Amino acid sequence: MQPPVQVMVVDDEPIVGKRLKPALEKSGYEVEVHENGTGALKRLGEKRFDIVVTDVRMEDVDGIQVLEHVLASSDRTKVIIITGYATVEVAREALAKGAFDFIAKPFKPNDLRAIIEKAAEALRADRSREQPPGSSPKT
Amino acid sequence: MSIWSAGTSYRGERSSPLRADRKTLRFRRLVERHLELLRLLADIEEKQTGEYILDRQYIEAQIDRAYELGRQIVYDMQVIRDARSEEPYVELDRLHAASLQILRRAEGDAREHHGAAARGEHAPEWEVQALQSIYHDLAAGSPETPSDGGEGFQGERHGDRSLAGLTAWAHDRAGESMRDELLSRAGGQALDLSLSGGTEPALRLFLLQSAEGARDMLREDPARPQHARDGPGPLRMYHSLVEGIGIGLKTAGKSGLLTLQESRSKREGSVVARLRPRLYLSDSALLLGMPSGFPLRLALCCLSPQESENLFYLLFLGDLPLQTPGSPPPAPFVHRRSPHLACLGRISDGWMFGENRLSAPLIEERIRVLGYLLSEWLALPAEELAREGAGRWLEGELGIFLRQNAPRDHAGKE
Repeated sequence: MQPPVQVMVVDDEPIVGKRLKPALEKSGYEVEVHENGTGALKRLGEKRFDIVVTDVRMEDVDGIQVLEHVLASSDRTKVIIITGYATVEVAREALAKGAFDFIAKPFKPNDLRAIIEKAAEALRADRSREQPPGSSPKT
Repeated sequence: MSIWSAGTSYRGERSSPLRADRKTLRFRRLVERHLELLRLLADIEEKQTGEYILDRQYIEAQIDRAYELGRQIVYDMQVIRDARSEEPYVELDRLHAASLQILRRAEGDAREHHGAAARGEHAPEWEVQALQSIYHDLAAGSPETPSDGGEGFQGERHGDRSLAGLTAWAHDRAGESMRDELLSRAGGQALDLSLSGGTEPALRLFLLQSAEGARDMLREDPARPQHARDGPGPLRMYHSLVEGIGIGLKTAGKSGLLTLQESRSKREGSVVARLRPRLYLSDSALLLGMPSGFPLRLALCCLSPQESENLFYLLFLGDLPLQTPGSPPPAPFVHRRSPHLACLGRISDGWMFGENRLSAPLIEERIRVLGYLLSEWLALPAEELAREGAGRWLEGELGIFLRQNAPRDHAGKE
């Protein structure tokens, strides 16, 4: 059986984590929520996450820094950017740097969940490609 | 009696062509801005339901854009009317400041609660709550007794002190000034569509059970349930009405899509195209089937100077008093929302449908929304619509009525 997908949500607006955590856990993800970038980076040094969902604009450490940190330390983690209403251009920049996708507020939790599912699917596809030919998939 | 007897041709004084065009272009811009504002308000209406995760930036951006559009609309209105008044701007500034104050206060309260949340107490979703309060000021406002002054900005407005009410007032005032221009562009015809007393209750629309029932429903009745809560929000519906009319007009031009009958009346000088079964369209008027006793005058005017774009403006002239057979005319029905007195249908090839094709389900859906909107307009419960079946509201009864009452030289044909 596949281990549950590990998701980190980073957003300095408490309501984002409050709404997303139960919605994602219902879909079988294990979710950690951080309300500041500094705490998130510290935690990323302790544990590898499969998917990181981060707001692009935060006070101490912004989402682009989180993205760069994640990509530098792991090529198996997908990063999804949450943009504010006026920062869609920044999201495009994030995509150019290697983010998996972005979503702009206002959004419905289900919309983000769909993107996370795509990211999880992409991770599974990556893992399948990495397995040596002829070997059976790990359970 | 013919249900429509062409009004006398209207010829007003014409200003110079160049000045008339500039005025028309400015009015067109006003109308477009008003439509943009309505779309923005409809977006806020959707977002304030609580289903969305949103942030302060969104709220602030929407507020700023809404009031920017409001100021532009008021400015355009004043240019068209050659008016100079500070009052509408003062009111806009007041409303804008009030909206921002709501936002700041909600954010401050949320910070206090967030501290409480760290101690285990509940932190409310302040963004959504703030947006709900702001939306109320933008779109609903609070009814007030009109001032007794009777003159000037405050005296003219009825009740609605929201941004939507103010911009609708500006739109209507501008429309009044443009009336001559618009009527002359319509070819000088304004059709008087008087569905007078004597038409039987069989002309029963989807919206009304009977003339007596209609009159009761049209009266302000605090005990009547707020149907607007049951269906789509009023502004979103209104926006859809505008699009629905545009689609109806667009459809009328596409004779291959629906059965189109044309009949020409030499006497009236108009072409009546019966677009079965939804809307009845003439070259200068759009008939939205109304119950008996509603005198309704419409003028359809083309605002666009270019052939490549068709921007139509529908003028509803008159205040739609309801008259039932044998009873004295009631007091004029004052619309709660004056945008319904004038609405815009925009038809531009490809604008709405990309490939310029209309499917029957799309038309059906739009007509259904049109029905909801008229329900809102007439303040009727949504269950009336459901009972009658949306999409069939102009079939049957109105068709029978028109066959019985159409002028002889173009009696309806099937």
